Amino acid sequence: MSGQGPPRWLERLLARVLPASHRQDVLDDLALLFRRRVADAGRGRALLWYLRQVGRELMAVATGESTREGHMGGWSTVKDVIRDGRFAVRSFLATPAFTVSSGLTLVLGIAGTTTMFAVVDQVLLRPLPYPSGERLVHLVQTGPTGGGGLAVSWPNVEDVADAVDGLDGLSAWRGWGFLDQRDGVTERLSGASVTPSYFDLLGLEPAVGRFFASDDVEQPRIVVSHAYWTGRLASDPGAVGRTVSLDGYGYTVVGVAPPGFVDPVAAVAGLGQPDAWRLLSGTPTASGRSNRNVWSIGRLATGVGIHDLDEEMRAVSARLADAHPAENDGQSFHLIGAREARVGDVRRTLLILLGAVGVLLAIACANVANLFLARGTARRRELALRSAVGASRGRLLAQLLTEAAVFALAAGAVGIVASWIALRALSSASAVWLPRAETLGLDPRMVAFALLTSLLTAALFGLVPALRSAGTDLAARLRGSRGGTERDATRLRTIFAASQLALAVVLLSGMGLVLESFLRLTGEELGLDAPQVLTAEVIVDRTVHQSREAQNDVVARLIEGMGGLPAVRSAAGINALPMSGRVDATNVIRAEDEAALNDDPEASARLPRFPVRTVTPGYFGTVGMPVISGRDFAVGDGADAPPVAVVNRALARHLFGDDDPLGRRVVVRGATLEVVGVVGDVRQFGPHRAPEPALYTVYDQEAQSWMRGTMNVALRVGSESGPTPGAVREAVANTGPGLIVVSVARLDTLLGRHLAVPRFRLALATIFGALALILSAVGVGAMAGYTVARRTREYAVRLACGARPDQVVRSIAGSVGAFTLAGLGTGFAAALVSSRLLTGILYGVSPGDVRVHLAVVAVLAAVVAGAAAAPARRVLSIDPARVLRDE
Amino acid sequence: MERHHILSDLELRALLAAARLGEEASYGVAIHDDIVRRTGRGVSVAAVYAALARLEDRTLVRSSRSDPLPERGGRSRRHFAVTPEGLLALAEEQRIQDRLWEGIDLAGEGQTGGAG
Repeated sequence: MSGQGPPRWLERLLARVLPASHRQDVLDDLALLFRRRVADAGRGRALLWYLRQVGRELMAVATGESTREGHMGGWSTVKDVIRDGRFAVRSFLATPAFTVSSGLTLVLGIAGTTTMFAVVDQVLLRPLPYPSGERLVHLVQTGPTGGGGLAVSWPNVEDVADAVDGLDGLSAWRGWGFLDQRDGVTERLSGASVTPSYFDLLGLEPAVGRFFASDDVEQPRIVVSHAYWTGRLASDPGAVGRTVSLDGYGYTVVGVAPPGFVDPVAAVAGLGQPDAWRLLSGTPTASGRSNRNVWSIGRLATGVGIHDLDEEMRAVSARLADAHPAENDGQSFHLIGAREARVGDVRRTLLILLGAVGVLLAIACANVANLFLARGTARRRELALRSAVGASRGRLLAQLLTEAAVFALAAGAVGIVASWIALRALSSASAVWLPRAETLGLDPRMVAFALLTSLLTAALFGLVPALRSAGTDLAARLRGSRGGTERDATRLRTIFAASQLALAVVLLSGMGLVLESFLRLTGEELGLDAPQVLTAEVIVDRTVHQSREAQNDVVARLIEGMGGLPAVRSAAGINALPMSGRVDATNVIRAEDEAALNDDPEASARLPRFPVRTVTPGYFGTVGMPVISGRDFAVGDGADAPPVAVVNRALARHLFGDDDPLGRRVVVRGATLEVVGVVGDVRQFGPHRAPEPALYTVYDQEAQSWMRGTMNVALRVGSESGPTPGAVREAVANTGPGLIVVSVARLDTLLGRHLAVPRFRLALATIFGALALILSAVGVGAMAGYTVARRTREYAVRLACGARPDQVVRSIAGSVGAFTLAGLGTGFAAALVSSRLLTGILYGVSPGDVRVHLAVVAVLAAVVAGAAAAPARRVLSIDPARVLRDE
Repeated sequence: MERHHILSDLELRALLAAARLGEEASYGVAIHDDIVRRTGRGVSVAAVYAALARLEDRTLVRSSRSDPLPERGGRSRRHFAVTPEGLLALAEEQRIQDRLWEGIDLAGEGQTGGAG
């Protein structure tokens, strides 16, 4: 045959699948038709046609249509589904308003659920990204009152590591901030000091060089991060062995951590990811057993579960308490999985969010089901017609379900895209509050989840309306009359609308509580006047300013220079700003108790620790802390003057009760100080924590070198905006060398970080609340409109017969009010129960706060009234005669 | 009256095409072409043959092989002719359709969409 025939391979493919009885006839006919098309339209078009035809033949084979027996005429065949799908697409395109409103509803529900599921999966469920990451654990120390945490002391870490056989290792880890000086640029970076087994315990391989060995102890050697290596060391493979200057000391680089490595302890501790790791210096014993200044991470031995060690940990706790009663009495040690520690408080938030999106999805389903029911009612004649021309009930059911599935899958596809965008946004915006946010993304499992959710929702919102529409009295529908099924559909729609309202009450109540809680939190007095204060964090380079005198001098000049900037009313410094989390805490005792406590080491080990900060004169006035009695520090309180201290009101009460604290003496780190002033309390740890006792020393007298290295200069500015960060940096530079500006920021911005999580919760709650409100308003509005429209004729008759408008309005209110009352009542009860889940994240408001719940009910009732008002007005404005004529 | 035949869409269309074309002209490709032209939709050739085979099983059509065609590589064609039973079935089908459509006025039913 000539080359004008169809491609042989396609013919062979067809020959394989076609039934033998007419295989040759079909192939011949197709070849004939193909040749005709080649002659008419050219080979290209003919080929296209042939390909389409092959598709058709394959489909006919798949559906059994091309066999002699024919397909069984049931609804399960592929072809029916495809035909229904096509029809569905056309019919949805024909009713764009319906499609868009219910489609958006569903997209929101599906995207929300998928996003939250992805977050929960990736944050809560997946093991940490280290080899056998599920075996990593942290040591937790709990005191007798239940307080405690992941901060432990180095000697206890060593003892637990030695005593517990089920642990393959336990490493100590301490944060380390350092200045990186290269090429005249100084940068403050995060680092960590670890014990030699740290990296091996994580199961990591270095990208370059090696990790630590035990003979590196007390050697100035570091492992650097991959980012540091590619950045500062220019990816130089020969960087290993090189010496870099950190904090003015030379360290030899021994290795580079693998790319993308996330230090698990830094992540749990909420500290910056290290750029360099060195070994802990000194000995555990010297570090002090009561000094909980390290974190730990360990690895369970193969085959050992974390709870298999419970017994052993209890025994170890008892032994440690016996051996070191002063420090360990009443302390118990246990292990916590690294992932649990990392996820911590977020678990509850995430599960609540997952619940909230579930509720949102349910509202969306009720909404769409309602719209489908309405659509079914509008299409009853079309369905009756299909039934009349031979479609079986099953066939119609299949058609309606296919429509629902097509609809849901399309919504699902859009939802996947929306969810992908949401996850990208979350991953960059939530690093503050969401652990492991950096790994968030969409994967095939999430896509599968979204599609499955779509199909499930299709079953939910499609089945009931489909059963309604497919199985009813044909004759009645063709006549266009409203039979019993109509009443059933109305009842169903009423139930959907009521459930929607109930679910909306639940979500909005949650939002109300979170909002109330946020308002309480932001309304708390912080104890200082942040809005007009600018701060600059300045490091005093102690390699340049070595003596205390030199440091005192440069700090005095720094403060003076900054105070001279335009628009600055006053300037003063503090070593650690409140709420910065960098505070140093120690024992503060009355001088008269010192002797007794020296004789009783157990009692002194149990003394509470209070934050101690050092400030320059004028600090309290500058940040707006009131001096309640006595005086502020003064320039006269110099290095040679009698040592003095200022306490806050809480510490004064703690130490001296109602006695006058002025003139009394306190002992701090061995130094005896006279209390010269009492200042107001500041919420040191954020607005959610009550103020705690605190003590202030004056910088010129402060003997502890670690208190002297950083100065946060606070500048009180007038109503004007104050100096720019550039001007501040310039003023610091003009003071002289050896001062490094780390950051310039407004104090209220810094303090605002503590509100980041509550603010984020509020934002999420608001989004959910708004969506619930919108969705339920749409649903209820449609329901009210429908209810009224259905009875328009009746109302017209009544109006025509002399009914007063208010009687009609009352009747409308009655029919809308019934389902509203049912929905709001159910929702109110459900919200009272479900909001208990919020217990842990609320501040200053109880989950059962009836005012909040009632306010929500009132808002929704108003929404319903608004939604019902429009159709009611329509009824009243119509001309009864016209309605009756039209009927 | 004896139970009438129930025809599938495609069977009905194939039977109508065969009746319209007459025995001389009603072979596979022609029937396929007729259906495609009148419905405006593509259809599987094999499905048409299968439908014709089912019609033949029910003696609504009969088929015969022609002589090989007088062209290069020409083959024999199968021709289909509608039997008297086939014509009866068509008449019955038409009566059913007429009854079904009685009293239906599609004008003014904008809501129903393209029922096909």
